[in-house]
Parts: sequence; C-alpha cells; structure tokens
Amino acid sequence: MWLQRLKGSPYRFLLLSIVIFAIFYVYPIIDTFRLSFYTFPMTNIGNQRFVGFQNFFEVFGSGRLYHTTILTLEWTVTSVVGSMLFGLGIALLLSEEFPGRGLVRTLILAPWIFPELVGASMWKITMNSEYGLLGNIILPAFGFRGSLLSSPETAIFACSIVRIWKLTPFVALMCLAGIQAIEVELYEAASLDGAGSFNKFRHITIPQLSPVLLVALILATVWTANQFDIVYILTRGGPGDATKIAVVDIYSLAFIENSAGIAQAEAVVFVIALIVISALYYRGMRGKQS
Amino acid sequence: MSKKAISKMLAIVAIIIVAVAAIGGGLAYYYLTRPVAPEAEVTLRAFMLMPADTPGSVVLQGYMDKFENETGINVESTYVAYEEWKRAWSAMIAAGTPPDIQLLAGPTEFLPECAIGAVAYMNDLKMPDGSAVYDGQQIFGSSARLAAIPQGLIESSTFSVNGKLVGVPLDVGTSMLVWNKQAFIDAGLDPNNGPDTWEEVLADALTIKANAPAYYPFGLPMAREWNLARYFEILYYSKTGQPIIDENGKVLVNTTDVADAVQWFFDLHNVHDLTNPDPIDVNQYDNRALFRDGKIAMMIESPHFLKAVMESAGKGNFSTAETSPFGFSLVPAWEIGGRRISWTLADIMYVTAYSKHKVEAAQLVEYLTRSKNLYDFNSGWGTLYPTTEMADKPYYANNKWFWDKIKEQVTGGNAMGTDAGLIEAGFADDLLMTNLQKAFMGQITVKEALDDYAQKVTVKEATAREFL
Repeated sequence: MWLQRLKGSPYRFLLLSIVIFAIFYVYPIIDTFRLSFYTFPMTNIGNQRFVGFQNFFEVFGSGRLYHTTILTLEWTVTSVVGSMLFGLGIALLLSEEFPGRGLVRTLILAPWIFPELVGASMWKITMNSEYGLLGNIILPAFGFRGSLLSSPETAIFACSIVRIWKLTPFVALMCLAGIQAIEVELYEAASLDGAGSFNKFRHITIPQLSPVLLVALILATVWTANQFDIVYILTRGGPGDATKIAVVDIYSLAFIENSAGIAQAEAVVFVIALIVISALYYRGMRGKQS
Repeated sequence: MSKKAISKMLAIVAIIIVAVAAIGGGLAYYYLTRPVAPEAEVTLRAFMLMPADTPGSVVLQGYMDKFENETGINVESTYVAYEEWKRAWSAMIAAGTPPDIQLLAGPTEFLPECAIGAVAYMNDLKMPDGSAVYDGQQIFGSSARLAAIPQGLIESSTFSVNGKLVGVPLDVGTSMLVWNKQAFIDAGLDPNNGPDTWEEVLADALTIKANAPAYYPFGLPMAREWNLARYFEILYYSKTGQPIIDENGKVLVNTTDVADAVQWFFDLHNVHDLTNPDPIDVNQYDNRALFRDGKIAMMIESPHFLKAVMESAGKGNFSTAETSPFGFSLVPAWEIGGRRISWTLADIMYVTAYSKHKVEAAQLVEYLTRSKNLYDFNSGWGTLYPTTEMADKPYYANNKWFWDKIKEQVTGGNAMGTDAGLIEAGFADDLLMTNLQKAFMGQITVKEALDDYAQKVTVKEATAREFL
C-alpha cells in the first residue's frame, strides 16, 4: 500500500538521493559514533575491542583536548574573520565600476581555484627563511628573523594567512552576489535624505547583506574548522604541537599513534561542537529574520 | 516544429545511435576476442618506503620487472614518500589489500612493526623442491663475500625474532661528520682534518663564525621528520653506547647524561648562534641543499647521499681525496664518557605477516636483496661499500678512495642490536619529535621532554607470525 502511495508522491524522485545520502553520509557518521566506543589499531581494523567510554575519558582527561580546542579556535576565528573582512571589502570594490573590473573579478578567483596542496606548498616555499620571498626578503626587511612557520607564537597565524588567501574569493563572490541584489532605489533614497557612504553601508548594505553574510559565516566556520590540508602541509602540527588543531590531532591519533578509537572519540566531540555552533548561528539567523 | 524538421532530427539521432552502437560493438568484439596473456596465478604487493621516480626506485622497479619475467609472479609496487608511509600502509590494510613485502627505513621503523606482529619469519620458508628460500647466510651471498664485510655491518642490518630471521637489508648507509673544505680553508683550519670530538666541533664552529662569517658553521635540521629522530639517536648512542632499553624493558633515554648531550647540541643554535638561522624550518634535504650551495661548514650526513647530491649539481670532483669538496669522518665522540661511534643504518626488507603468498614473497625479498643486485645501484644512490666482487663496478671503482675511507672507518653497526626481542616504540616516535622541538624552542626543558617520552613510550615484546 505504501508503494502505491509512493507511486503518486513527488518524494519518489528523492528516493535515489536519499539512498545515496544514507550510504555515503549517514552510515559513516553512525559508524564513527559506534567506533568511538571501541579500541583498535588502524593496521588491524577488524580487531575491535569494546571499551565503553574509556576513549572519551582519555580525550577529556589527557589535556590534549584543551590544547587542540584553543588552537582550533585561534585558527578558525582568525581565518574566518580575516576572510570575511577581506571578502566583503573586495566585494564592495568590485561592485563599483572601474576599467578592467571583469578581469579583476576573474583573477580574484585564482586562490579559490588552486588545489589546497599546491597553494599550501607555494606558501610554504614563500615563507621559507632561506629561499622564500616572504621569509628571506620581506620579513627580514622589517627585522623579523626566521620563518613564520617555525615560531610557536606565529605558526598558527601563518597558517591562517594561507587560509584567508584561500577562502577570501569565496566570501567575496557571495557578498558580491548579495550586493548586486540590493535594490539601487534604497541607496538613491538614502542619498536624497543626505546619508553619506558610511551610513549607507551601515544602514543599507549590511542589513540587506546579513542573510548572505550569515550563510558565508557558517560555511566559512565549518569548512575552516574541518580544514586539514593547509595546516598539515605547512607544519604537520608543529613546531612542537603549536599548530595541532583538532583535525590534525585526530589524524595523528589514528595514523601515527595508532589509536584509532581515541581518534574516533575526539572526532565525535569535535562534530558535536560544530553542530552546536552551527545551530547557534542558525538560531541567530532565524531570530534576525523574525 | 514541422513534420519535416522532426523527421530530420529523428534521422540524425538514429544515425548517432547506430554509429555509437557500431563503435561500441566493434570495441567489445576486439577486447573479447584478442589474445590475452594468461593471468599470473600469484600477484605480490610490494610496499616501498621511497618516493617514486627517484634513482633508487627506478633501479628497484627494474629488478621487480626482471623478477616477473623470470618467475611469472606478478608484482604490484607502491612507492610512498617517507612522511606518508603510515597512512598509506594503514589504508592498504584497511582496504583488504595488505602488502606482501615491505621496505622500511631501518630499525626505527622496522622494530615497531615487529612489536605489532606485522612481520613473518623467513627461515622456515621452502621452495617447491624443498630447498630453503632464504637462510641467514644468503643475505650477502657466499662465505667469501661475507668475509669481506665487517661483522658489525651484518649485525646492524639483519634482524631476528627469537633467533629466526625476519628482516634483511636492501642497502646500508652511514651517518658521519662532513665538512666543507673551502669553509675550513677560509677560516684558517686544516681542511683535511675534521674535529674528533663534539667539543672540537664547537671550537671549530666558533673559529668559522669569527673568520668566515659567510658560512653557517653547523647545519642543524630540526624539522619534524625522520632526521630529527636520527640526530637524537646519534647523540644518544655516542653518549651512552647503550640500546634505548635495557634487558628488563626499562627505557634509558632520559638520563641526565643524555639530556645534557641534547642540551649541548641545542645550545649550538640557542646560545652560540652557530647554525642555520631557522632549524625548525629545515629538514635533512634542506640541509643537503644548503651544503651543496656552500652555505654550511659542518653537519652530520650520509657521505654517499651528499656525494650524489653534489655530483648531480655538478659541484664536486670526487676522483681523489684532495679534489673532493668535502671531508668526512666518524661521528664525533664526547670528551668525557662518550664513544666514537661507527654508525650504520639499513633499509630493511621483510615479508609481512599479512601475506597470503609468503614463499613467493620471500623469493622476491631474496631476489631484491641478493648481493649481486644489492650493490648494483650505479645511479649514485646505493649501499655503503662493496664486496670484492662488486669493487670493479663503476660506482665504486671511479671513487675508490671514497669507499675505502668509509670502509676503513665504519667497522661496526649501531648499538640497537638485532635481536628484536624487546622492542621500543622507536626513535621516530611522533611524541619524541614533538617533545624535542618543544625543548629546542624552550617551551620545556630537555629533561622534561625526555622524561615525558620515557614515561609514555610503550615497550612491547616482539612477535613474528608463523605462516600457516
């Protein structure tokens, strides 16, 4: 009978997508939760032993969660704030008419198009203190000796620079689309009322752009928090453990320290944190809209 | 749309469908009926810890191809850069396609594999005709060849568990002190005599800093890679001469002596400013590049690797000792309580416990590591020094003085020992590298770094799996 109901229902068109989603998204997530209660080495995955909450006790009790959380926050906040500011600024510039605007709009996308590996490797060479443009010429001119990546105080922020470079085009593109959707009449009316550029930006652009900004913020936050390639290629979590953000630490636990169960537990904690943050963002967005 | 246009469109679609069907049918007929070589009954997976398209991997692949032609056993090779090997290895096992043989970089990587039971015994394997596939004496060939090789080299390069063979060397290298002769000349030092002790290293480095400031007196790679663990290994052994653990399984890395030795080494940079300016950003390959470019005066390095690097850059005439651009000698000793170590490090090849074709896998290991092939790396990367049989190969004969000097000085292996009965977690442990970097940056003391490592490292009893 349900088959007959399904036959006439529009949901039958979603069936294939639901099945694929269930296999490739839902099942791995459920299995990750399950495996967080087991201990097993990556070189012998079949040899799983149930340990209950032992992995979670290890994650919370070892002190490494606090360290990786602080680093992840530094990495995410710096990268997201930087890319949002630069992205919005670039979008505002590109929304104005100037010669070559089309070419600039295309070139702005270049960092976004580069594969993570290529971009991060390029920046690593640039920051190298012996051969890099930044590390060997520009920074020493300002009295800074050594690579940004090899100092524990600056390493995570150096990684953030690369992330900002990579993410800014996406934010700029989203903001540009949002800006172009704002009715011109609003600005004209504001001009008639004697509003200056800053007031127009504050009272028209930002409110009108806020849904777009919020979406960009959520995506930028989640993508950055999950970002593994850039940090791993640049520093492998070093120097020491100065850039061991959560995803790098999870990788290290699973593939280097051969503690896959603890890695799963840390991944579960991390995912729950991201879900909570995304839910807060979403509530904020709904609150603003209402 | 008119009927004529519809008809025309349908005709074009029909022609396209017929054309695609004809091409597809033709291709299918070709692939189904072409003569195909019979599939090999056995396919071995070889996991090689070296990047693809390097001189060593090209030579190795050549021998694997020869093995396939001679035996009919198919070999699928995977070449992996050092930093990625654990991830790739885990992925192969998780995917149900574990390697049959593996090549790993020395005891630091091989011994932990023994600890998790990933190795198989090779002594008992028999060919179909009943002859042994591999016995310990075949590693270096005949007894005449064996006699030409220092016992220490053999001891440091072969591994056994409970007296049974589990790992054999593909190649053997050494770490020694190397110095830029021109830097020594510029600083007013004798270019043919390097320092014998670490204290003399410091004195010479200070002289170079004062008289030849264009050079970094000592090249120090502190990047989070295998070289960092190897430096610690060298310092540890030159100071203590002991294995990392004692016979009771107690970890010995965190004695005050060892901490002082490591601190002394770090002080070369942190106190005396005698090294490249940013060691954390520098790995062994960067160090070699700096030496090749004439920026470093002294460092610990494998002379034959360095020779290959400089020759490939056209920066060396190694035909005689006098024309060689760099000198080399054993790793320095400590003036008090230390020893002048003769250091060797072998890349170990073994049959994995996961292999379902252990006899064939052992055949492949034997083929790749037999002496004739073992020394035939004429690309400039290869093994430490030749047996009398290989001495006339161009790679050795053209630079005889070089290899004779290494042979004269390197008389024994490292102190790790080859009976992998008690296995430490390995010097290349990520925790050790993290802690050493933290100590180098002053975040913790060296003693705290080593204490933390000693407390957390797991000492396990080695196991190897009997094959069924």
